[in-house]
Amino acid sequence: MELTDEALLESFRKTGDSDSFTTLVRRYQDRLYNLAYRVLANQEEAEEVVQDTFLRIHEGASNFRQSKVFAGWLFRIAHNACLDILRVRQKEIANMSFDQTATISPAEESRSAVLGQLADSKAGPEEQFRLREQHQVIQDSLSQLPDEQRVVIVLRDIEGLTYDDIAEIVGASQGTVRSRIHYGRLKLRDLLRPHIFSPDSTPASR
Amino acid sequence: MDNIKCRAIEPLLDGYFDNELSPNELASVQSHLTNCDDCSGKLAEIVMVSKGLSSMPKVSLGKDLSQAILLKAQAKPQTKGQVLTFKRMAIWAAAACLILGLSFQFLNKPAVKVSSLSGVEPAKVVPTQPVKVARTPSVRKLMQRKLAAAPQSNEVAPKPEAKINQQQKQKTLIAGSAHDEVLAFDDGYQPSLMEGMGMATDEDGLYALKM
Repeated sequence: MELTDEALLESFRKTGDSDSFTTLVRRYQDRLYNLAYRVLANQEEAEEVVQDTFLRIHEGASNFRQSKVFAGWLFRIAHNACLDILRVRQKEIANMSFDQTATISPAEESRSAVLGQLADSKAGPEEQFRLREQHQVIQDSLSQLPDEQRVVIVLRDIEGLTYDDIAEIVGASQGTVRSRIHYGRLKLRDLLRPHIFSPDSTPASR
Repeated sequence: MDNIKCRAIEPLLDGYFDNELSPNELASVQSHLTNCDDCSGKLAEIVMVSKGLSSMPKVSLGKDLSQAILLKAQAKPQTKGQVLTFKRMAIWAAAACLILGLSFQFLNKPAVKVSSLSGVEPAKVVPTQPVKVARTPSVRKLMQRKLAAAPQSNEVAPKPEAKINQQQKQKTLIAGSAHDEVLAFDDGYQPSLMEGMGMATDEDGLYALKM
């Protein structure tokens, strides 16, 4: 029987069992990477977030309260790690005459697209090309949202978390989360309207 | 459709789609949507945006970071642990200093409090000796003379006692500064006590005369 996250962390905390820790890393590394990648739109930074998050978990395992859900704690740390990177990025942008970080590199996006294609094997070549373009547009639009709105949108629409969980992760009230989701989606709707709401492209119909 | 109602409903549409509304909110949105094409259209857009986002491919790391993270983590704690230990030691040292400081203050204060609460106790120590002194032959002789001259001279006896007491007090004051507060406090009580003891001495003297 598979141990729960909390049981694994407890085992690691009590006995220093590295297998428990590596199991937790393997269980969540891809999910964290996806979250960080959608928020940061950068492969290296997303990987950095995964590493930093688990390093903090390793260091602070004794601080974890058993009454809490491990995943919530993990996402909260990852969220803070993302915000740290975004803050650094904002400082860098302020010092630069042009923005190099707001767009996704073609290599990264093509990789995502390939993975997307693999996930959707039913799609033909034309459909795959159209989907690639749409994902590119969505990721670009997502990157244009204010950081706070982007994070909650990713946690809700990509990770599928509840408002309560999101509120705990981002350290805000449920009302604030609801408001950020509402305004985030409004802005996304405006950004995507020329692309996603045209009669030819309906990703929601998939 | 009613714009005011639409403005109130629109912010709830996301919660409606996400199934995050309270029963009352849910009921009001549902009843509004049945009559409002505009809000129904906005809901459809929310659904499109959300589905568009959730249709994004899950990006995979493509490698296992667990061993690399573990190695980094195991390399780090040595210094961090030491820093933590030092911090903990500093906190404990500060706590110990605080406790010592508080206990010192606590131990000092009660010395005054005890003397103020049981003020009679130190007063007993000082005046009991003058009684013994009053029994010495020289004092008895002096008292006999004074009493013979003025039978109601109750004031006579206390005088030598007061002098002796003052001398003894001075000795006690020199003996230790820790008793200064007690003695300073006793000074307030001594006049009445001395009077009482003076009477006793007188009585003692009278007994001596009788004897």
